[in-house]
Amino acid sequence: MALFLVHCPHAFDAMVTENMFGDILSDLAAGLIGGMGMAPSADLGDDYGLFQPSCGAAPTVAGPGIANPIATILSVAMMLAWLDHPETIRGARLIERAVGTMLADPAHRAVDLGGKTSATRMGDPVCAALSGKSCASLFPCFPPLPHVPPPMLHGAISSMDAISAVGKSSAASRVPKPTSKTAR
Amino acid sequence: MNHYTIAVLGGDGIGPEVVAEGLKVLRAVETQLKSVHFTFEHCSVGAGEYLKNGDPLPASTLARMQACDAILLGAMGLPSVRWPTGVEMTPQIDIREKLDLYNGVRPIKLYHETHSPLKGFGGAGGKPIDFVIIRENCEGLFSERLTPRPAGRDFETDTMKITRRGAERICREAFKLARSRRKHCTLVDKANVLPSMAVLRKIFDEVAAEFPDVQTDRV
Repeated sequence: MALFLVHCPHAFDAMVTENMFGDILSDLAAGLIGGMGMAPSADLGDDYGLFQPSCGAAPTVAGPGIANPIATILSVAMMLAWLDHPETIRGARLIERAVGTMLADPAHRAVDLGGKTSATRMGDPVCAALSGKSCASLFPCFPPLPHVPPPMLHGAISSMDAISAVGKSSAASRVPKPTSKTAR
Repeated sequence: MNHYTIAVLGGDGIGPEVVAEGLKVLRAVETQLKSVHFTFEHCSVGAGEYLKNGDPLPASTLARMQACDAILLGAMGLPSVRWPTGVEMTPQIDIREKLDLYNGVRPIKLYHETHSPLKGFGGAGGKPIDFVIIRENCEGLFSERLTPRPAGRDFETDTMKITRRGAERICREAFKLARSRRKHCTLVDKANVLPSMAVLRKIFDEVAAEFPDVQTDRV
């Protein structure tokens, strides 16, 4: 999966995985789009919702104002979408559109993306870009994007199946039986 | 007027800096919304709170967070502040488990071609990167992390736990999300090696049957 995420990240839409795998793949995936400072997150239950950037505490860059706040700003957008009121959903869209507008200008690139904009200045252009109109999707309640066909992914899986067939064992038949040794 | 109270947890390291920018944007968007008002309830959590008062996530703070409409967190944990076992304090993981926040939603979207180390993605002619990782947050390999271990052993283990309830609900959330997007859902597992993952795949397949309009992959 890590290979496919690097080779054909456009082929994926929703993916579900276990806790630790999700931890690892979230880091890899953030690397595809500019780093942890660009990756928002939501932790949702049936009763509560928590929203946070994926960046971690990063104490070595704390203080001089070089941290990238985009993931936090997008996490705020996710929070507004999750609050699930027509106006907060509209607010989520406004924020994401403003972030897109702001990031289209390379002058507003954070230090971790090779730019010079400090954290304490980055919220300002987002605020400035906040006004009217609709924006692209960020969260499930937004309109779906056009389907991206995943030919590379399917091709890659087929070739892997072919390789495992050489060993007279399909992927499915390699699942160990409950009574067999499971350590590998 | 729709009034929302947001628990704001700046936390450690860069947490307070990035949260301040997030709140700045939230206040700005608030002025454009009709009849929506936000109140911020600032809470002290994390390694810094532990150094001050001996608990990174006081029960009274958790209770205040639960009384709010949503929680906004910066970051928690510092490499220099650890439990006697040697592991860092991770109250963000404790919160997920205590509030049963099983559905970890991680959107990954490329905004500008220069942000990606890959060539040919983003921009006018490039391929888009726009997917969402749904991470099960409350079991898996983290499930037994707080279980006390016998002293004096020359090995240690962690347990990969997949329950039917946990697997069903996270797969269902992933399919619901896929249905609202491009209707494609990928299971990431290791079902060819690990029995726990074989169970996860079986349950994924069962849930998939509830969503016949969603295409699936297992990788």
